[in-house]
Amino acid sequence: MKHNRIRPALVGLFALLAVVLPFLTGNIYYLHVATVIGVYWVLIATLNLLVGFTGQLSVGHVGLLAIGAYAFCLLAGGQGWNPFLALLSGGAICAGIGLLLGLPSLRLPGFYFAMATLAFGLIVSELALAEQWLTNGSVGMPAPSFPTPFDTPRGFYWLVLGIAGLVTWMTANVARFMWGRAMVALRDSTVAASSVAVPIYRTKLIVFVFSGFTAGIAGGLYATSQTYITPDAFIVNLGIYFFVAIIIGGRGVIIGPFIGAAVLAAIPELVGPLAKYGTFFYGLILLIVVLVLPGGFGELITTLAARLRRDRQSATSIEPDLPGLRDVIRGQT
Amino acid sequence: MSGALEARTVIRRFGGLLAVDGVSLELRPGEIHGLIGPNGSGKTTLLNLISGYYTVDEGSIVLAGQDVTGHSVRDRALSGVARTFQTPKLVLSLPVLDNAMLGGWRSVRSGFLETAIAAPRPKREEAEIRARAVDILRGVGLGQVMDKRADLLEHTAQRFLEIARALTSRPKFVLLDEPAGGLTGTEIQHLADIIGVMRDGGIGVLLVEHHTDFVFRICDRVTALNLGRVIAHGSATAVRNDPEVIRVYLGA
Repeated sequence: MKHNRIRPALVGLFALLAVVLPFLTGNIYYLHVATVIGVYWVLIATLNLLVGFTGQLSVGHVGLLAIGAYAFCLLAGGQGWNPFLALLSGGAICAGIGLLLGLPSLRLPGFYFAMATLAFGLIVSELALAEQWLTNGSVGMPAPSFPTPFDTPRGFYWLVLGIAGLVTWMTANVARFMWGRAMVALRDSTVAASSVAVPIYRTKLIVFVFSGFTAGIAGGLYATSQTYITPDAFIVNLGIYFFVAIIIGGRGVIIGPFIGAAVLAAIPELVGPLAKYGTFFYGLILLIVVLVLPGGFGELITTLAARLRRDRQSATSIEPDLPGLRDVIRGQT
Repeated sequence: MSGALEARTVIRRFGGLLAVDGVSLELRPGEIHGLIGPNGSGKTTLLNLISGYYTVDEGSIVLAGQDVTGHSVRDRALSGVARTFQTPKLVLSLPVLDNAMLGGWRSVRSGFLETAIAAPRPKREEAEIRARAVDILRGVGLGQVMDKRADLLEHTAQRFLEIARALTSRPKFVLLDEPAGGLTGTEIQHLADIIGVMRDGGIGVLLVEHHTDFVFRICDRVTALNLGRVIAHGSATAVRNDPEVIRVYLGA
């Protein structure tokens, strides 16, 4: 890779900006929006591993977000657990549910898997409304906040930022090592993937469970960011928006869906008459991306970077280095 | 024979058609074994049976004395059986080097979480597989295009990349499905040289191919199929001069 120096510089700059953001804006409201972007990102970053890299089209992650949120509120609020323990437990519960959901559904071909996750999202949404003994039904329940120093808007923002940074780092690691190649291989060609011994079903399952875990964590953080949760917050549309964020961002690019996450979080917060057109804008962006930039913004960036590096198709003359090849092959035993 | 990859009287039906009808074939380590025959004679079907993409209806597939008939494609790849495809099956959205590195998956022991936290083992494996893939790519002549996306490669380069991917997996056996298809004379010579190096390195190469000159020139042994049955097998010279092979395939 030739852009070795540019990328870390950009990542560092972005991280620095994110860290000092509370000092740049005195507006608590903007900070809240930034926090929600971070919360969504915790879910979307790993959903991107599942949808963008592995090619498994889950539109039901809102169900996991909801379970994570309710688990956090019930454990940290009702049961009085330490919020951090409750947050991790919510993640673990969602990982377990991801496993149970993935075991049968990841054997299905793509479209049917998408339908299974949609059904899951619908079921969770209905259960949150109907099971009043657990969820208070449409009344909802308050979400506990985290202990000091994370109980202020700034403190909570930094907590979310830290978790989001950790999740980003983990997904980037998965993507850049052999597991990432295996995921893209099984997405693009199961025949090629199986010929090099990639465990197709197991890989899908592990990625799904991992994305379930962070969706549960995102749920707990989401609850705290909203201070109060009701079933309306977890309508199935939100799951589709998460999915759309990845389409907008571009599959197979780690940071791409961040644009989608940012737009998604900003929309309901738009002030004035524009607010009711929020979903309209989201749909419009999706339409433009699908029609004009099928690879999403992420691919646009990749293409521009490649253009800068002057990659182009050129005739290759293949000149084998036989002595070299002999050495490598002989060296294997 | 110990160490060989064998098909033992395998039968495969597609509906009422007997695509492979009791074929036995033995691929030894360190030999180039040609598999020839007219279109529809069952060559590619046999290759798919040996690599596990199709299941056999009767008979067995044996690897180094062990019955692997029920093993999946993945299990056979893990045991050291690599292959290429008639139409190259590459991950077109990934660079050439990454495609070759995929062959290294066979030796990956790192788990998902270990990789997520960038523990020492995945880093070490990554470096080893990368180094090997780079050496192999240079060896087959793709050293100049390692950073290119695979979909930017021409047809010949894609074929060589599939071979590089197979070799990165440190295979015991490589099954090549019409590797010379669409190649120029010079390129076929390069291919022959590469296959020769593979043989010398102890790899058993099964070569399914229509370029019969090429097959008879480089193969140690040849098996000829017609209508799903073996009509001749033995040394290249013996098969080339076999009257039945001449009658149904080579022509006078």
